[in-house]
Amino acid sequence: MRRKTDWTPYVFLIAPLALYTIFMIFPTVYSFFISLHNWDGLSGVREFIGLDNYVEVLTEDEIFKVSIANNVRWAILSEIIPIVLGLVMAFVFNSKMKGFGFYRSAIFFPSVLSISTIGLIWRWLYDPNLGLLPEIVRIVTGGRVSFNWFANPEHTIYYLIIAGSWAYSGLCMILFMGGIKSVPEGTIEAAYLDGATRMQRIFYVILPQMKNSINIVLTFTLINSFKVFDLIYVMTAGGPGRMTNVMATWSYYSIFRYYEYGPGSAMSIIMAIILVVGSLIINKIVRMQKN
Amino acid sequence: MKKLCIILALLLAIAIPVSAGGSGESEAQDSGKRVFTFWDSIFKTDLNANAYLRTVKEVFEEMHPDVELQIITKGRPEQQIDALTIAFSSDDGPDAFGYSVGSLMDPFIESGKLMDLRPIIEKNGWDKQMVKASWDMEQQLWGDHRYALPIEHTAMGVYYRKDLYEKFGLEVPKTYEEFIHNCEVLQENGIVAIGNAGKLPAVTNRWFDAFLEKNCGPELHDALLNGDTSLNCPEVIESLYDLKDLSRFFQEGHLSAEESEVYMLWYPGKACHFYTASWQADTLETQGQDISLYGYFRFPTDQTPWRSNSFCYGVYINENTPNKDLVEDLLKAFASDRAFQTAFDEKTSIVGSRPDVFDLSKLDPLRQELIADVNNPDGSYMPSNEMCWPPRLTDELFEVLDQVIMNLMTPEEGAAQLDELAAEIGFYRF
Amino acid sequence: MNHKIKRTIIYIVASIYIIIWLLPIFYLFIVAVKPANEFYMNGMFAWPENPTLGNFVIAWNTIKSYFWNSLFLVAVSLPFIILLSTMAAYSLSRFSFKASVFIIGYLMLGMLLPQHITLLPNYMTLKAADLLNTRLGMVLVYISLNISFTFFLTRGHFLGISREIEEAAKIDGCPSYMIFFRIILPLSAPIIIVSIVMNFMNVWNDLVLAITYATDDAKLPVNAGLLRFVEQYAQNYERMTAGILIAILPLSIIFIALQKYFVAGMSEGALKG
Repeated sequence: MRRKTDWTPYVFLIAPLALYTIFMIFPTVYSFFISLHNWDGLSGVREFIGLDNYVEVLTEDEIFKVSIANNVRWAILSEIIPIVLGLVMAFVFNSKMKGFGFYRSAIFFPSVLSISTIGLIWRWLYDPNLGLLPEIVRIVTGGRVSFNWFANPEHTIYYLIIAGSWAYSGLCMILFMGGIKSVPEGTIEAAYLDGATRMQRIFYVILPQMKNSINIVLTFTLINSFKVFDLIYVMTAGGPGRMTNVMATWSYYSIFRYYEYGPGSAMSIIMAIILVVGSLIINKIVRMQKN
Repeated sequence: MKKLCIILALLLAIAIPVSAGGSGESEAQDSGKRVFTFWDSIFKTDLNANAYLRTVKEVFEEMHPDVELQIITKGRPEQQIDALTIAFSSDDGPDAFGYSVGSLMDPFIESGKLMDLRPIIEKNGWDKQMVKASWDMEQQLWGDHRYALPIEHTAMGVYYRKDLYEKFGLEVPKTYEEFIHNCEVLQENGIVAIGNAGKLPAVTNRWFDAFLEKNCGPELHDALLNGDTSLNCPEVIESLYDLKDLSRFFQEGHLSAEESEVYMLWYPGKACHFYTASWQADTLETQGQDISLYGYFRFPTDQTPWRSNSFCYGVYINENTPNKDLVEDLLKAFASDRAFQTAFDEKTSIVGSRPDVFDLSKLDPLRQELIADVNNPDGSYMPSNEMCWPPRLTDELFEVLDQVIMNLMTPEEGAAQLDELAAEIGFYRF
Repeated sequence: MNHKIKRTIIYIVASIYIIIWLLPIFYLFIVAVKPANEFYMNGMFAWPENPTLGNFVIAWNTIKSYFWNSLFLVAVSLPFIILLSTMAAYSLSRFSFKASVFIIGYLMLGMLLPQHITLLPNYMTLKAADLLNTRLGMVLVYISLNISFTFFLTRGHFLGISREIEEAAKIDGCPSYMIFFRIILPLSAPIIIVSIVMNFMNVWNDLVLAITYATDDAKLPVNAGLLRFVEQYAQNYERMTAGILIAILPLSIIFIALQKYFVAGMSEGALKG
C-alpha cells in the first residue's frame, strides 16, 4: 500500500470553509464585537462598554423576556402540533392506494409556499370582520362567541403558531414517511404474522424503529422554533403591543427600528448561545439513549 | 442519476456565462453616462403611475444629457429605512432619496449624513413658493435647518359618505358635539359610524392627535410634540378618554383591520367615516369608486385657530455625494412647475407642494376641499407618531392607545407610562 | 363488499380532509380570478361574479423579469451549494484527521445562527469586494448560508455508505476524488434530491437578502416583484394573488416531479443519524 498523503479531503474543504467563514462566521463574530459596544449604526462613534448590553438585555428589557417566553411557547407547541399531526398523517396517508400520491402532495404543498404568502393567507383567515374562521365560529356558536385574534395580545402568538403549524405539518409528514419506509419490511411482516393488529404494529414495531427519525425531527423543530422570524415579521410585526415578538424579531427591531445595535446584537448572540448549548445537551441525551 | 447530472450540468452551463455578464455597474455606466442615484419607496417608483417623478427625471436629464437619474426602490418605507441605515453605515448611501419629513431622519442628521439645503432653497425662492405648512414643519423639527425639499404635502381629515349623510339628514359637523351626534345617528341605524384600520396604530393615532388638538389647543399641543412639556398632563389624559369613548363607533374587530378591510365596509356603504389623507381621493378612483359619493371635512377641534392635520414628504440629499455639482439642478427639477403641472394634468394629483400651479377649476369638489385644507391659513399640526416622536416613544404610544381602547389600561396609567419613557430616553427638552 | 365500502369511505374522508387543508390556497384562486376591485365590493369570500384570467396576464407581465432572476439565482446557487456541501461532507465522513471533529461542529454552527445578523456585515463585505448589486454577490451569499444544512444532511447519508465499495476502488488504484465523483455521489442520489428540493425552497422563497443586496430593479427575484402589487393604500389583491400563484409554480412542479424520490431519499438515510 502506498502511503502518499491524500490531499483530497483538504482540498475539498477549502471552498466550502472559505465561503462559509466569510459570509456566516465573520458576521457572527462582528455581531459579537458590536454587542460589546454602544453604537447607533450610523455615526463613527463606538463606545466599548463590555458586557453592559447583555446585562441590560437580560434584566431591564421587558420585551426581551416576553420574546424568550414566546420562543418557549413556540417550541413546546411546535413539538406537539405539527409533529403529532405529521406522524398521524404519515401513517394514514402512507397507503399505496391510488391517488394517495396526490393527497400527499396536497398536504405537503403549504410547506413550499413563501412565508409572506402564508402570512397573507392566514391574516385573511383570521380577520374578525370578514375572515373565514371567525365566520365559521359565528355560525357554529350562533353568534355568541366572537373571535378576534388581536383581542388579547398575550394570546395572539398562539394564532401565529397555528399558522406556522399548518405550513410545517406537511413537511413533518413527509419526513416521517421516510422514517416509516426505512423500517425493514421483514420486521413488519413478522409482526403481522404473529397476529399483531395494525395499532400494535405501529406502536410496538414501527415507532420504536423510527426513533432516529423522530429524534432528528424533534431536534430540528426545536432549533427552528428558537430561530423563527419570518412568519411573525409578516403577520404581526411583533405586535399587537409588541407581545408577539420572538428573540429574532425583537433583536431585528432593536437594531433596525431603534438603532440600538449593541443590545440588538447582544440578543442575537444570546440566542446563538441558547441554541448551541441546547443542541449539545440534546446530543448528549440522544447519545445516552443509544447506549 | 445520470439524467440528474446532465440537468445539473446544463444548468451550470447556462448559468455561468450569463452570470459573467451581470456586473455590478448599471448599463448606464457601460454607455459612459454618469449616474445619480435616487431611492424612493415602492409606492412611488412606478413611473407609469407616478407622472411627477417621471417628469422630474425628464427635466433633470434634459438639463444634463450626460447624466442618468437612476430611480431605485428598496420596498416599502420601513424597508427603505433599513436599507438606508445599512447603506449609510458603510458610507454607501444613495445620492438622494425621498422620505417623510419627520424625526425618523434624526439619526441620519445627527451623524451628519444629510445636507442642509437651506442656502439652495433660499437662493431659488422656493421658501416662498411651496406650501407654507411644510416649512413650518421643518422649523418645528429642525430649527433653522432645512434637510428636505418638500415635494408633497398631505392633509388628513375625516372623509364621509355623502349619500349616507343625505339619507339620514346629517350636516357636516362644525363642532365636536355635532360630529358625535352624527355618529350616534348612524350607529342607531345600523351603519358603522367610523371605519378604523386599527391594525395600523398610526391610523388610530390620527384620532388621538385630533383629540390632543381639541383638548390642548395649538400651543400646548406643539409643546407636547416637541418635548417641551411633560406628557403626563390632564389634557393628554382627557384625550385618551376621548379616544376610548370614540372607539364605540369603530367597527367590530377594528384592531386587526387594515385599510382593505375598512374599504370592504366603506365602499358598499356599510361604514360612513374614515380618517385618512389626501391620497385617498386617488385611491378611491384607482379602485373604481364614485368619488362624488365622498366628502371631506376638517376634524372639528373647537379651537381658534382651527388647525388642520398635515405632514409632508421631501427629498433628502446625501452630504457625501460625489455628485455635489448636480444637486442644485436635481432640486430644481423636483421644484419645477412642469413636474407638478404634469402630475396634476395627468393624474389629478393634488399632493404636490406647489398648489400654485394647479388649475383648481378643473377639480372635483372632494379634491377642492382637500387642497383648501392643505392651505388652511390657520396652519396645521403634525402627527405625533414617527413624525415628531422617536420610534421608542412612538411604539409606546401605540401600545398605550391600543391598551386604553381595550380597557387594559386607564388613561392615567397611559399618560404616566408615556411620561416615564419620554424622560428615560431623553426626549424632553426641558 | 365490506372491503369496497371501506375503500370508498376512506377516499371520501381523505378528500374532505384535503379540501379543508387546502382551503386557504383554494381561496387564493378565487381571489385571483376576480376582476379588479370586485374584492372590496362583495366581501372577502364571495364567489367571483365574473371570473377572468386577466389578472394572471397582468401579473405575469409585471413579474416576468423577476421570475427569470429567481430562476437564475436558483440555477446557479443550487449546484454549488450541493457540490460544496457534499465535498465537505465527504471529507469529514470518510477521512478522519485531527481537526475533523472541530470542523464538523464549526460547519454545523450555521444551522443555529439567526439569519438577520448577517445582513449588515455581509453588506460591508460585498461592498468592499465591489460585489454589491451583482448576481455573483447574491449567489455567494445564498451558497454560504445554505451550506450548513446540506452538509448535515449529506454527511449523515455518507456515513451510512458501506466502505467495501470504496476499498475495492482504492485497491484498483482509484484516487479519492474519483471515488467521490464516480461512486459516492451516484449512490447518494436520493439525499441529493432532498437537498435540491430544500435548497430550492430556501433560495426561491427568500426576500430579505435580495432586497438588501440588490439595488437594480433588474436583479430582484420574484418575491420582491410581488411587492409591486402592494400599492400604498390600495393593495391590488387580485393581481397579487395571481402573481403568488405564478410564483409558486416552479416549486410545485419540482416537488410533484421529484416527490417519490424525495420520500425515498428521506427514508434511505437522511434520518439515520
